[in-house]
Amino acid sequence: MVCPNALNEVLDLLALHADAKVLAGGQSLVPMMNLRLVQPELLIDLNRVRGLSDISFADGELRIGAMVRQKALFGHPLVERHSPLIAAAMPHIGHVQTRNRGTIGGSIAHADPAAELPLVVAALNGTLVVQSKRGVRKISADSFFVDGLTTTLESDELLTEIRLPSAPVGISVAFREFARRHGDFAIASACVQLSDRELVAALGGVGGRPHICRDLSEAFSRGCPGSDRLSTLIAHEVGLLQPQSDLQASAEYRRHLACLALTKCLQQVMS
Amino acid sequence: MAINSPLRKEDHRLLTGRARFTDDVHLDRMLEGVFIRSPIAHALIARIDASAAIAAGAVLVLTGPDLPFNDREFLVRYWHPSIKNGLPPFLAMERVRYVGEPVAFVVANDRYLAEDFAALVEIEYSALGPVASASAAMASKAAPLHDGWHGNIAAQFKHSKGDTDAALPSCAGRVKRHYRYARQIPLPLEGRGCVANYAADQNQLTVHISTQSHYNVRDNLAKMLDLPESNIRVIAEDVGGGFGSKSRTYPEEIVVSHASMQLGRPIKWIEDRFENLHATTHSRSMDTELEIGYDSNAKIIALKERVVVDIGAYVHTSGIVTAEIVAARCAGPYKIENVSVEVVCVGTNKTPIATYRGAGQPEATFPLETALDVVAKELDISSIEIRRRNIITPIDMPYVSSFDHGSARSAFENSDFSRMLEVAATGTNYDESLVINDRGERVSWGLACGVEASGFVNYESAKVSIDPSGQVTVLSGISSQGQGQRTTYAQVCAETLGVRFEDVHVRVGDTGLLAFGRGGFASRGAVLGANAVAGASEKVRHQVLAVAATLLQADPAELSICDGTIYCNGSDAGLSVGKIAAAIRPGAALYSGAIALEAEHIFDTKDLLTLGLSIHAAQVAVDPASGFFRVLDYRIVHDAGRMLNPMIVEGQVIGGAVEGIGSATLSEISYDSEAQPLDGTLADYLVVTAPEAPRVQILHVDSRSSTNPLGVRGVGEGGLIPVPSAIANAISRAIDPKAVGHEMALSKLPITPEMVFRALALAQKGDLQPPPWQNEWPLR
Repeated sequence: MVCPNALNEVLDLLALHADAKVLAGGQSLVPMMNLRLVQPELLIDLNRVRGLSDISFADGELRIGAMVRQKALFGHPLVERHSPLIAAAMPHIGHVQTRNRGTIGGSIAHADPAAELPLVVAALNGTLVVQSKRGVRKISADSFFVDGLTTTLESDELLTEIRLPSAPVGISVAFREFARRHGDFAIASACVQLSDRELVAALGGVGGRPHICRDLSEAFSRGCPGSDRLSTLIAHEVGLLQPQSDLQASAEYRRHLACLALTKCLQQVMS
Repeated sequence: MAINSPLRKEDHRLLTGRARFTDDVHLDRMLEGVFIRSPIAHALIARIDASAAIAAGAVLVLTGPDLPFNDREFLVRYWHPSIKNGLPPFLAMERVRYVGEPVAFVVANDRYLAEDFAALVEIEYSALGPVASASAAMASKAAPLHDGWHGNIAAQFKHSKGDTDAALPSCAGRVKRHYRYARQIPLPLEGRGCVANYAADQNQLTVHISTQSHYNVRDNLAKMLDLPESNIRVIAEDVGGGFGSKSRTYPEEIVVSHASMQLGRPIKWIEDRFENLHATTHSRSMDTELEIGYDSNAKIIALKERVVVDIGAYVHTSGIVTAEIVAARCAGPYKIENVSVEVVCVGTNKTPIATYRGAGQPEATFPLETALDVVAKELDISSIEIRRRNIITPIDMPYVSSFDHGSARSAFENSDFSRMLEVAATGTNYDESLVINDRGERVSWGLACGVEASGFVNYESAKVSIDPSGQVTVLSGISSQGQGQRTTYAQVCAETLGVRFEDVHVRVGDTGLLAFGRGGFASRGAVLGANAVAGASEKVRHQVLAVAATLLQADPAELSICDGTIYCNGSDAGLSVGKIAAAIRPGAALYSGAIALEAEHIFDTKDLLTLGLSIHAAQVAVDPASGFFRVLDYRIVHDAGRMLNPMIVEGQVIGGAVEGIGSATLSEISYDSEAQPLDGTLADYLVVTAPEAPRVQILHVDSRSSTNPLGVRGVGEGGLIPVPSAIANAISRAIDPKAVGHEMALSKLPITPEMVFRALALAQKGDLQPPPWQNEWPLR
């Protein structure tokens, strides 16, 4: 394990060691190492690396350093002002103890299909800034998340920053999820952001990666649908899902909960 | 005895990190070990090759054939005559029978190295067909897991009184249902573990261990390792929870101790959570078919039950105790003339089951109390009324309960269950109406009674002594996993002897303290442990008064002790218990042959259990759209007899109720069709946590038990026992307060939101299908 202070040291190490793992908040990696499911050749601790923990606003974008703790996002004035959807998701993320350590970058790079932050960043189609010795890549969330625990991040790359487009004034947002216990990964979750220009919506926990409700957004771009039409649109989006059955819920019930979560979010933003 | 709740003596060290759990023990020259466990459910061991591990630096690798005591069987503490074979080996010999079964023990300089070396041990398995469920086990083709397990039945028995088969057909109404209590894990915060330290020069073995049952561990170590009991000291100093999972000796503890003897060095083994989920005994895991026959006055005429217990791959040293208790408690606190219960214990390729808080009592209560609500609905009477008409009343007492288990007899005595029902009906917010709240949730209450038997496993020891400074030491044969015995025993001693609570110091959890003891399990700490302390304290009080009478030239009847000072006819005699302790020392004026001012006592229940009732009322809110539900309010009417310390009683009862909510709504260890456990971490195996816990309010009803001098009733388990039925009944009523049938979708524990969603759909359609799991019922 190494504890570099500077980003370029991290990038040097990643370039040298294809089997290295970076340690951010350790909320997923450490349990996997404990079970010896992951046995990296080198562990690179990011906790002393300078410049990865800032939250700022520039060029119409909210910029969140990958090492920003979930606790720091919670109630942050810039986050509440420019990305109220993130703010709406925060209370659903884990517990005080896990938020104290867990980072936004860790959650997104880990890409658990039931996690809240990947869902919201995917819904907003945020930009993921990724650095390596080869240079800087800016990846849209849409092309970043591939499948459960799988992203387009290369082994020599480090996610350094998450950029989110500033939310228009006067938007309304909603986040709903169903979980067996508070703080558990969702069985199904939904988030919605509605402005006078557009609606974005996404569903989580119901497939390998967040499901973006494009057809629903498309319909909203042509005007606000009536309630019958809305039900049809929701059913259509839910019909596109291919959820899995697991210990917590059957695929069919998961689909039902996704439908409910999306419906409730839409009712909330439209009221 | 004055009822008060002094702050717990143990809390300062526990809360300031001064406690010493097994993993806090660090000894000079200590090695660490790790067990290699079977990754498959059923296989022959074709080959084990540890040479690479030894070459890499492993200090020792032990496999089954290396152990010199394989021909010896565990000393069992509780057994049923119908059990055929099936005790576990120490390390698997030629065959493994469940995922998690210990196969080899690898010792190294530290735990990390031990795990690295364990990965180098090559074990070749030749897979056998696994038996993944009780119904598969009993299928005609399944080969028996052990010799003598015909049809994979490890044990079976029947009890009956009256004539159930004759009575049932003539009943005005009958209700028949299937229930399933999932396989669950006792799950203490601290897993198992031990540090074994053999000193060859003294032929002395000291074992620091996380157990509830330190004397049983000592006796088993003595038997397997050929050591005299007196050369073994087993210390369970602080134990981070047990809940029944540590009430027995496990193979690992013997193997680690053997390895320490072989190497002449201390060896530590600490179970990790993954092991704890698969290699520490599970519990519950019962299917019940129940039929109740009743007359038009709502009198229960007959009860017939058939119970199938999936006991897993071996029978542990507590036998089939939960199966026996399920039968003994099947009629609950009710007068039922015709009862028959048949219990079949079936072997599967899963972790062996043993006790878990309640130990058969929650499993007995869930079917009965849930079916009673169905009967009430059929008769259009309240849940209170059906119980009022059948409950054992004070005039019926003593009422010998239907069936015994082992040598333990039980009778309901000196209680007023009718009054407890009235308290539940009028003293709580219990209300059988359905309310739709402003969130659109359907809100209602459910109620259930539960019987808790305490004082199980007879005999507990205590010794009380006073030193010349007036400080009093209490030694007890009990062990503690946090129940607060250091406080309650000090209270009992202080009150009985007449000394200050602050001057009494209690020591437990060490076989070096007393030659005989049992431990902390089966709600026996108050009934057995505290009464032993009271008995020893009383003896010492008599000694003190006899000496004081000589010194003061007074009649002992004129003397009393208060706060450690002797009073004569109510006035301070200028004499303290410390001065008396000094006066009888060898060489002192009143020396008469005793080493000190001290006395021992064994409390003997004569194998009579102490029974207590609790009535739980739960208010739940069900979201009809999702099936998700919340427990809004929770009230308990509880009889602890005399409360030694009300704060500790409430802690036990509330803690039990919260654990019960987890048992009712969250916890289940699942296996796939290859008998592979599907829960590997606590992200999969769900347990109740603080956000799910409602505020629990307790209404105490105090009826002094006649079974013991202190008049106490045990409280370790009653908080959990009725919870699943109270919640199931509340959800069922919230879905439909009048109809029956939909509750069949709720007859499996844990009740998940998806099951509630299905019950809501059933209630709406009126189209009643028995739930799919019911087809797995293994008995014809």
